[in-house]
Amino acid sequence: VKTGSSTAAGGCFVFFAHGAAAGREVSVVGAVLGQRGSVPVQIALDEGSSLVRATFASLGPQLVAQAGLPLGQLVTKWGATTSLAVSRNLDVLGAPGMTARSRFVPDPSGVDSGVARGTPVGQLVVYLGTQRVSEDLVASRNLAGPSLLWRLTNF
Amino acid sequence: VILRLNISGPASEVPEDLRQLWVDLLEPYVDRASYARASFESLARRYLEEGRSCHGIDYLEHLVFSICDLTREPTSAPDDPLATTLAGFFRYTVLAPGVTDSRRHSARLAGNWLDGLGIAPEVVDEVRRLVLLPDTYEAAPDDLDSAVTIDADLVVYGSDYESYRRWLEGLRREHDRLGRPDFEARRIRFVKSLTRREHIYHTASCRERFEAMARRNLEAELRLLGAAGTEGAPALAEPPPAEDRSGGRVHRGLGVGVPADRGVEQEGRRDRVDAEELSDGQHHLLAPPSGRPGVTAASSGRQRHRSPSDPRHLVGIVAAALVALFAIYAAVQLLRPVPSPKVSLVLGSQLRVPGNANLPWPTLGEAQVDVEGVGAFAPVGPPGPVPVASLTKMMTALVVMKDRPLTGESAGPSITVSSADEAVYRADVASQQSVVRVVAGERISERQALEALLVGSGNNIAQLLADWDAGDASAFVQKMNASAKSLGLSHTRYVDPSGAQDGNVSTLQTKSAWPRRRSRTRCSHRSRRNPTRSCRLPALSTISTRTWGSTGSTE
Repeated sequence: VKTGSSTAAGGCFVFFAHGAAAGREVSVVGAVLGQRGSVPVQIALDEGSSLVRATFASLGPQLVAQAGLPLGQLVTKWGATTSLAVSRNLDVLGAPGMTARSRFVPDPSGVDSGVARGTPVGQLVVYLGTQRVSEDLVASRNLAGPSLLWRLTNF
Repeated sequence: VILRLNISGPASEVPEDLRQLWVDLLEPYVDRASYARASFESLARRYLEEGRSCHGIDYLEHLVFSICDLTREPTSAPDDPLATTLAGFFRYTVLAPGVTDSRRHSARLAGNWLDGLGIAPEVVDEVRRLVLLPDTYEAAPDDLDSAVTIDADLVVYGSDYESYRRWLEGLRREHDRLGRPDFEARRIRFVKSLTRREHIYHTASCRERFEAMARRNLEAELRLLGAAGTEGAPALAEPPPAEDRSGGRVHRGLGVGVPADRGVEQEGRRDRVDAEELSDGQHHLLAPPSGRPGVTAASSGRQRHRSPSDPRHLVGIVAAALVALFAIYAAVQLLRPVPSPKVSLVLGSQLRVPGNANLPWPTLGEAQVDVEGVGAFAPVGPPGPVPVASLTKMMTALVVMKDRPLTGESAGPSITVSSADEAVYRADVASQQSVVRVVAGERISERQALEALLVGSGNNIAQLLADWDAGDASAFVQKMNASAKSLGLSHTRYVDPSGAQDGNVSTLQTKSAWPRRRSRTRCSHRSRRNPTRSCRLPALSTISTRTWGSTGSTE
């Protein structure tokens, strides 16, 4: 995109690269600042292009949630609990070392009358960049609903 | 109090002979016997509804078997025994409190069910007609079906006094919703309409067996209601002479002792077997002729009404209020959603992709890579603003293109190079800065100027564009800083349009926001797809991009 250099700034390079990774078109944008040497701009250019190449090489589907492993715990007010797991592996395009965000989105139908083992109680949603992938989180064991007495005596 | 009131009376069992009768009646007509059985269960469920203290399943049994008995006697044989008997099954099917036209609902239900069961339409129509018979309980002389239906419904009036009293108590409770004065007014009117008749019953067999007893019962009731003879007469304590005709068949047919609601309290209340025991009803009642039923009634039965200060009255009100409060509380508690469960994610909300990409980060300075739409690697190197030299020109170009947009391949407006622009060029050459040659008087397009700025990295071109866009450099620098601020580049500062001075600083965290903004412009597109090594300006035939190399100069 642009180079720059001065005694104070050293060699600088802002770059933008477009290519394919894991079957998807992706753009890589980055910057290298403060490179020193006999020809600082050239060093910045070289560092920038090797960073771009390595970045593309590191991209691929990354496993963020493994099927069957307990990823969360559901606790109801009336004391019934179960661990939660995804029934399929959840992948997201990325590179090792990146940090995704995850969130639990409860199923709107709720658990009024209990939940049988294997029933989805919500979704695990993982965000990385603009990617949003999700998978049902299912109860690992049967979950009892509240008793009539509990419903009448709890506020 | 609450519990007692909530518990319904002992659950009535569905009489097996009634079920068998229904199945026997329908089996020859319906396609499948299982349909007949299933439909009976639905029907019985309705008669088992709570609140049917008079017209419950026991009354159904009584009514239906009374009809059966009448149909088997030569003097009272109906024209259509099947329709008449079925009408008995459906006559009180719908008996919702507050439903004024329950007969019509019952008739519609009968029609729907019997149609669905495959009964012949003529039969269905006749059943409907009989269910709809008005509450005057009168049949035309030649209408045998109606006569049997009505007489069977009136058999209860001819039962022994005790059974009749219990039946009346059930009727009153079933119509609790009507005010007592209203109920009594309607009841008086209905009873009088019966006693005024020459015969209460239509069929000979009923007249013979029940007429006399029915009249005694009705007259006693009128006395209790204070609507006949001298008010408060000894009639109260004196039931009419009872003839026990129930024999062995207590709840069946014409032999009958009349079924009373099994939940009715019978002990210890005898002393109040007076008008208080009689209440409201839609059936076996007649609306008063005037439009204001409550008023007439209030002036006829009043002395025996509880006054509002009567303690029993207050206890009743308090109990009812408690029941209502509990019902509301229970309904709210049971209907509101249960609290959502808490879910904690074991894997946490920050999910680090395991491993390390091992990118070849430079050992000096700072670097950052962001994969658009995927994610960024954490920046490497010391944080904080650093001088960015000619990277400044990215913002110069952005401000110019924001003010004078270039679309497609257009060259944009022309810029005439002034003698001052040429003087800047000469001065920059003298100070060994990165320059692109311009000559006073020549005309260059905006596109050419931007290429000279970004590819040639001409400091003099940055000055020229600033003058052209904003009039002078300081006004243009203000625009650059405002633009940086609007992009959220809070640590970025500009002091000149070219980046020649070290005061032009920025940080890595913000730097990567730039090209994305600019990638939409023609300039960066071209340099990406088809890298421009050189561009042409009129004065200087070719400017090479490879002008870096002299340390100390700014490119």
